[in-house]
Amino acid sequence: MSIVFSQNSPIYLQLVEIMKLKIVIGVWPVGEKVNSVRDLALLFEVNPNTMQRALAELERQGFLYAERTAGRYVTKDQQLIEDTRHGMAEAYIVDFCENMKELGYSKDQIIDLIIKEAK
Amino acid sequence: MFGKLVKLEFKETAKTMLLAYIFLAILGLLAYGLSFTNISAATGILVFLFVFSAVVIGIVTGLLMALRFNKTMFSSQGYLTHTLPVTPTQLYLSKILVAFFWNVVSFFAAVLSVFAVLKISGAWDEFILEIMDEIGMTPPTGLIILFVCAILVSLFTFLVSTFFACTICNTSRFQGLGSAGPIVIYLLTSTILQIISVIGTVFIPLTLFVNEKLKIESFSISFPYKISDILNESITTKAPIGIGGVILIYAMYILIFVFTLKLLKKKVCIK
Amino acid sequence: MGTLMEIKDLTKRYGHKTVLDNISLSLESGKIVGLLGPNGCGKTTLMKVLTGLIKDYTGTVLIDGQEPGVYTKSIISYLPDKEYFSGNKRPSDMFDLFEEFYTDFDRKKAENMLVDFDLDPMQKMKTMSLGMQEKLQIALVMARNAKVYLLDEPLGGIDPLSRDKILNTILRNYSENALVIISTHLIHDVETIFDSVLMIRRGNLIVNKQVDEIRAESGKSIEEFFKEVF
Repeated sequence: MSIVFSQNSPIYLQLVEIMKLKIVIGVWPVGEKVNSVRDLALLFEVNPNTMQRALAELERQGFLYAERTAGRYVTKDQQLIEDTRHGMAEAYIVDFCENMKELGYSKDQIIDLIIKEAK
Repeated sequence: MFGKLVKLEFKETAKTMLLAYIFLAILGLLAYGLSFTNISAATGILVFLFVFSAVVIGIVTGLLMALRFNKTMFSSQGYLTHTLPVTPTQLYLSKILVAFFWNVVSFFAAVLSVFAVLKISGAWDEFILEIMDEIGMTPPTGLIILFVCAILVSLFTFLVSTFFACTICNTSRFQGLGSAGPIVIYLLTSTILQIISVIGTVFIPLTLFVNEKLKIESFSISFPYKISDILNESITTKAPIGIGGVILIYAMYILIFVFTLKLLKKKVCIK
Repeated sequence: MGTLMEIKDLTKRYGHKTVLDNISLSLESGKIVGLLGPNGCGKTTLMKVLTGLIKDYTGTVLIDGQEPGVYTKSIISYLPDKEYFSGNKRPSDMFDLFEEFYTDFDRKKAENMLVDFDLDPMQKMKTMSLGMQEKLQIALVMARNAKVYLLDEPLGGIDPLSRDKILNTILRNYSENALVIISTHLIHDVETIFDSVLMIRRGNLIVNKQVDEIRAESGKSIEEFFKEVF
């Protein structure tokens, strides 16, 4: 997987967001075991230390938990995942609305367009 | 590790050398076979080719070994050779020992080939009879042994000086000499050593005396070439052989050997 | 994890030319380090000193606590920027050689890599293209479980598909006990795998920083930062 990382933030944080999305969407299902640091580093073509930092951060934020020697697992905390999903959705919408306002759309015009396009 | 290096050297040189010896053997057998027929011209040519090849192999082996040393140590192959977990001394010794081995084998192959031709043609027996008339029935073993030893040592010293020439041409200071460098250095060292040898022979008072029957008669701490003798034209029954020069040369070769090892340990830069 | 490489005031001169000028650095195991700089800046010379190919220098060089010698050669796996094969040999001959002299050589791994690279173990070196020889060299180097990997331009002259394979191999071989130093021009392709980078200009070590620090401080990718510095 060749991801083009932006230079605006550290790679490990970008990895955190990417993997968080996978968890939220369900690509990495709840309670499922996560691949090893090495395999993930290989997959994303990043330094294993970087990947380690990203995973540690996800653990800290509660999206992953570690079982002593068995490895890391996706959290079973559905609430957290739901909250995060909402948070992400809201962020998309806020972003979207700002962009649309910049284009000159009014609130009603935005809603009409959404109804039309969301089919 | 050293054993592995020696094994490696043998493996890599054996193919070429054995091919050469087999080629020589085939020529020899052909010549021998033809000698029973009456085609004297063909026999003659083959015998000549046989002896010629034997001599060439004898001479070229030394050169081949020096070239191989240069290639494996200082060309791009050096990147592989010098990153093996061995000391430079082990590299040098394994290569010079195996090179010396083939040198000796080629030398004996050449000698045996010539001897075979002479013996089979009968020329050898004639020659021996003549010699025996001159020097009596007992062969001059002492002198022969000395002679053979000297040749064997010279095969080794050839390697020492060529390896030295290759090594010194790959130190930072001399790298500018290019690929002709080793040849130049070799000729230079040979010349200097020859001069030293002559000086040593004449001026160091160590002499072997050999009588007209080619037996070693005595050894004395005296100058081999005394001006008084030459002036008096005294007829001596003993021929002097000054060995001071030889001993001096061997000492020099030991120095060169040690110096080469020192260079390999510290100063060599692979390009 | 520990300091695997310790260099103090390393200087190398060729006559009047100073190729390495008082270089000092310290590197730990478990890291992948980039060695960057323009041609002729001293990267290759530095690697040659570490591998023991250049012995005539001043300063201290310690690899796993020892000066370059038999021990360090046994724990360093070096990929030079030149091909070092003799034409008549085959890959399997090279495997024999490495098996013989390096206890950390994994023959199976090397053979698998050859398959991956689409190379024939019985093909003579002289009939192989440069690219094929380079791939073989990489297989030999990465198939060793060494403590230090020194890779001099592992990606130059390799087609893009194989480049990915090689990067993969480097990452797969990653170990907390090993240090990998990669010298390269192709920063863009490789920067995500570095922990830190060393930048050398005219023999001087001008940058020795963690990659995240550089990105955070300058807001640029390593490649852009490099262009800026040079």
